[in-house]
Amino acid sequence: MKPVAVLGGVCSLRAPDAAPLSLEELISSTVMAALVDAGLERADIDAVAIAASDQMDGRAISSMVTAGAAGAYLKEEIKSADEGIFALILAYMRVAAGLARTALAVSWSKCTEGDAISASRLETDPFLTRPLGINAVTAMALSSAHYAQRAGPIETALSAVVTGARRQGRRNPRCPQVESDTDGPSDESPLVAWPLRRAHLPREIDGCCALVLGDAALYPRRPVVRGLSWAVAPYSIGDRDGLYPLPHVLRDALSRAELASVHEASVVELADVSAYHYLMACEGMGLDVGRLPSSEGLPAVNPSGGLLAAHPGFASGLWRVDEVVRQLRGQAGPVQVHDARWGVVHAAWGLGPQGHAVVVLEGGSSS
Amino acid sequence: MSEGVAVVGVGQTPYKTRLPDQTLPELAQAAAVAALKDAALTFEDLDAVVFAMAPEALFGVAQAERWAADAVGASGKPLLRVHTGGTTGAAALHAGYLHVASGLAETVLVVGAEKMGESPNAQVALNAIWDPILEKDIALNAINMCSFQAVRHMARYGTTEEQMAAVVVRSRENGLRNPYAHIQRAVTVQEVMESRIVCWPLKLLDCCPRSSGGCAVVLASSRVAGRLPSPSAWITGIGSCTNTYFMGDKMGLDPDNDHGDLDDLAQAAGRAYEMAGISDPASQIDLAEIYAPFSSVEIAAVEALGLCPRGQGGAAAEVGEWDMDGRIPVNPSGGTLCSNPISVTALARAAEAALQVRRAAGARQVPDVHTAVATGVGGSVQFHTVTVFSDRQLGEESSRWTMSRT
Repeated sequence: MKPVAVLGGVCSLRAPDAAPLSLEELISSTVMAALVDAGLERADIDAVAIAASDQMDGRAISSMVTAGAAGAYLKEEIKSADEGIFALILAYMRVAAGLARTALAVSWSKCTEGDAISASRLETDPFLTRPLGINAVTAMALSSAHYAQRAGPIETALSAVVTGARRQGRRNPRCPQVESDTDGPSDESPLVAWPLRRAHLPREIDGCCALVLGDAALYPRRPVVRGLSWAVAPYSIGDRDGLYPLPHVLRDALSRAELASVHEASVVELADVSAYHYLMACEGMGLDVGRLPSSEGLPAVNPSGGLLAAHPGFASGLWRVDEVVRQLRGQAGPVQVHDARWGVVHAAWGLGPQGHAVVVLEGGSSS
Repeated sequence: MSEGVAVVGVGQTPYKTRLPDQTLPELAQAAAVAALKDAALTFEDLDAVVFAMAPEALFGVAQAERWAADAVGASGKPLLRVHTGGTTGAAALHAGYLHVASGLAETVLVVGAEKMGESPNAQVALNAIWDPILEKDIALNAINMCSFQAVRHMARYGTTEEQMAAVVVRSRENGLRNPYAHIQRAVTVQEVMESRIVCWPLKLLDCCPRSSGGCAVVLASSRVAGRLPSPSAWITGIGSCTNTYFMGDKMGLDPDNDHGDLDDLAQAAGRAYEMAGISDPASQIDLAEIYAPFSSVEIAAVEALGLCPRGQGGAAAEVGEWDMDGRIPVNPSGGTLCSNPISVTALARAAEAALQVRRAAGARQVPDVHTAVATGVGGSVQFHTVTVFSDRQLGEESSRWTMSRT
């Protein structure tokens, strides 16, 4: 696979009590900071790739107004109306194809301005699924129940995951500190959709993430995308088995990076869309299911705190990448993993979730 | 050097106002099956799927590509959904191109469908593309934003309503030869001129219909394309340009670029032409499939594409330069004025251009087409895409940035 460098990036996660920013201000300030981090200016950017949701942004074609804020004025620009990781995928492909020297990948959500759970009901087909009341949470509850039935008693493990994620989130200076009524034992928090309790679910916040990608030959000694893969499961939740096709996606991405196992990575940032899904993702990626969110261990899993600490909606996939890039640059601060050289990112989207992506990154020192 | 990419299969469903007996996944599947059959491939041969779906407000199911995943053979495979307003279909094609050119895939299905006929009023839904506080209340929609473009072109160049009507007359006549076209009825200049004004200077017959239907294209690397019996239409150039959302910034006394001239389309074309090695489009391009939802858009677009000088697009239409037997046939399919399934309209333009290059366009085939161009337009006439197709693969150095560096 053709290597593409990550020249820099910034993820702006907003605490609920932060000074309000309009969506355009949130996007443009994040993109400008990312360019500064990469040592570039907007004029140096050849292309822009966006991933965002019209439902969350509140417009039928939201990129009409957001593309300019993302730096795309009079540039090549494309938008995926899907998880933020697709901005990275599209930017990667444009650089790898030789059609751009540099490309911005940008994604955002203002989760506090909309009801993401209600909006997710619109994803269901209007004939069979929508009348059942399926939404993002109830779909996760179904897959969680399926996992719990197979895994046996896991309440202790779930509490440990939640506690570990909150702890790492408090240590991570990039993660907004969110006061919550779910900081206590997770099995005492209110039931949302059996078996999911409120503490098992992410804290949704406003956020925008921008990464600058570039031709690895032109920009040496930067973290490099070495492996990339993604796939979707069948639409019907009943047709799925666990987190299929995550194991296949991971294998494919590792193969492209010429790694034999996820255990060769120093750090893994996985998409813990619920505490159950943290355990499911660990299992799907071949990690020790007892491995808790921490900066320790090989690989360290979710040292950032993960989505259970802060979930910036569609930008969550790019946030995972930004955190791993910071680890590889040795700039992760209090949650830094020792001698991080390889990192693996997992992103997930859709009801259940339905889709999974894995990105493998190598640190810049040997690139 | 990036991998060569070819269109090896094309599939469309007939476009209609409503298709109540087919769900959106079923429409997309019908187009996909037709495209795969045309390419002599199966779903199992696909490495990835790109799904084109524009504003969900027109149909009422969000992220419908996830619902359609199984129907288009994407389950267990990479599926990526593109949404860039009216340019969605072409942007999806470009994303498919990038899959192959970057080396991530060898065979990609680009597919989509539209069921905007289920929307009670498309323009009410499209009113939701505007700012909810400042703009929605003044009833902005896709029609009046294009009327601004038309008025500006008329004021600057003296373009007439009769010239716009000539565009409609040709498109409708061409549509009669396209079995997929939604509107299949010829009209006269007089009929266009006498049709009711929707938003001056656009009259009812200057406007596209709202259509439902599916479209699909199969893309392949040069390695795969070389093994297939179906002819290839090589994608030799892609370009896009995203302009400002604010139309007023394109209509002042000294704007960066002009709403009436579609300068942004010219920039997208410049990028695609540079990649394709086209320096004189008026002599090197044999055919154009232009996304013109209103007759006035085509007049400015042929100029922005360099097919005629600025200000001459209207006169050229009037004297038949873009007719089937004219200098450069434009929209032999009937174009968007005959069918506008928004999610796939720009993909259909590309599909029709590819069919022409592959000499597979049936009754609407233009003789001796070696190079064809297809466009897309979207947003507040702010998103533009250009794709160049050729019956020959580019030589070495297919990347303009590679060329710039060497």
